[in-house]
Amino acid sequence: MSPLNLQIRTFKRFLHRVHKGRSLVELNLLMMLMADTFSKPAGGSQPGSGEPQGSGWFRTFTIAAYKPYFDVDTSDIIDRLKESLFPFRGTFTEKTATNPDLYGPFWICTTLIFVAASIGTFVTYIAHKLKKKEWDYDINLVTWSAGVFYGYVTVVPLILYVILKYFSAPSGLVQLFCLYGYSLFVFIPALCLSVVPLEIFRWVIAGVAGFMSATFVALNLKAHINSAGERWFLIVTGIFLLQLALAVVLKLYLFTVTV
Amino acid sequence: MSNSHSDTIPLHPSSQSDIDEIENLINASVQSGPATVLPARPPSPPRASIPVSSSPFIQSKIPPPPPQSSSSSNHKVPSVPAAPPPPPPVGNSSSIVATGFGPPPNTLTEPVWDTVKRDLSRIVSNLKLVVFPNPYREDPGKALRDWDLWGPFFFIVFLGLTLSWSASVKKSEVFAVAFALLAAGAIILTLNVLLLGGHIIFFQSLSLLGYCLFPLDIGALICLLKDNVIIKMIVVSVTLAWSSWAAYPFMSSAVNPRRKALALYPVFLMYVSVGFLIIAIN
Repeated sequence: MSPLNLQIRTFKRFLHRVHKGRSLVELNLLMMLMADTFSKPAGGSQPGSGEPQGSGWFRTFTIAAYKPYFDVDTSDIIDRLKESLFPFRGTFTEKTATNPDLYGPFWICTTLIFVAASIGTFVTYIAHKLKKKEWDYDINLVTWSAGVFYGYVTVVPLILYVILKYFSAPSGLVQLFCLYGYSLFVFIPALCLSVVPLEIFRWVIAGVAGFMSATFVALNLKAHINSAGERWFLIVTGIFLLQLALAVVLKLYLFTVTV
Repeated sequence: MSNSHSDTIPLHPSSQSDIDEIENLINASVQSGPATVLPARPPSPPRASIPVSSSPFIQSKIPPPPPQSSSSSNHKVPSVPAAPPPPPPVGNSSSIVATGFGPPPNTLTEPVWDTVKRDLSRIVSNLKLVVFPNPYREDPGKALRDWDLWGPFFFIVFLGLTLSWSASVKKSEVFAVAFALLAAGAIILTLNVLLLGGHIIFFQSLSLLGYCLFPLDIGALICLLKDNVIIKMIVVSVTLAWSSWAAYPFMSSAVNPRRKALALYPVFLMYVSVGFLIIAIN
């Protein structure tokens, strides 16, 4: 039988089974085949979305492994952002325990990088123009702020995760990323306000923002560690001071203008 | 066509007609020309393909070339030593089996200018469809189907070069940052939509985001020529709004309406940061 006839016969058998509702797996495979060949964007570039996931370590490289962490609507994100502005409630971890998202942390960090670079550039520009000096754009601001923000939100939760596990108050890693990401949100309005060229005002803003952010992280962590019944004091103060240090570093690097 | 009914189950009456229709279409296309595999998308201009004139489907009367994998349709492979005679020219026939590959030897032996002209005209037509959308055009999905990556590549490199020319110091760093920002930004934006559960095809989205950079290219060029800060701000704001407006329909239609703002905000952020870079570099 010629190859074409064989193909057609196999195809017909597929359709028979589909119509008889025999096998959902075959229906799935058929749909994938048709979707791929007729370029229907259902499922887009992931032909394996209907199949059981691949095993092992390379799951971390598929998109589908991270989809559960982006399962949020616009209203959820806005609620979480508002929550991060009220540090004394301490209810953030409870609210995000079941559905921590990575969208918020990532895009808050990215926005912060952009805002920090642009405000820092603008501040040095104004300072130079006021003194009628030459001014050049410093591209290193962008790369430096990218390193600081992404590094802080990645490394510190990782270390905290390990420490918490050691002290038997384990928390999920994604919850920690989520907590730290949203804690940085308050820096965005703070940086925008720091354009005002008064030195005292800038220190006050940096202090207030750093304090709010650090309290947010500290209180939420304290709630979590308390619920695991451990002593919380050392870890929480350490985290608090670290966040304050971040605020001070930002203030010093971005707003110290030597003309 | 012989049907052996011994290994098939009796069919529902409506499915038999479907199967027969598909069979007829396959037979019709087989007789009209070589069709190796159903392509992932129907390409409208004939693309270069391997000069294989026989396929697994037909019984070949031509001296068989070395066996090729049937899905390698769009690569330029060095031609087969025993060059088979060209297959009968195929037109754009049925919708299921797209035979738009065209007569292969023509695209390999045509003058280079023809190839370049074809790619350039595709870039121009995609540009018109994406950046100057005419609401009354007859085929709104054409730009999506005919995506290519040459246009975006030219626009990104041009923007990087323009920014680098405008910069007074550290020119190469400026180019590097601009290029990395745009390229990584397009990839991250696409991944963002996919992660939010949207439906787009990866390279199609890269292509569209690249084409939407064209207004910012014009803005950067104008800012290079004129040095007044006020004019720069106006020009950049206008081109920024134009870019975002061009990108809006594609991005918003790809995701769930409750998550539309989540998909659109990063696009806006990227264009604003590029616009800021254009203003700041002087």
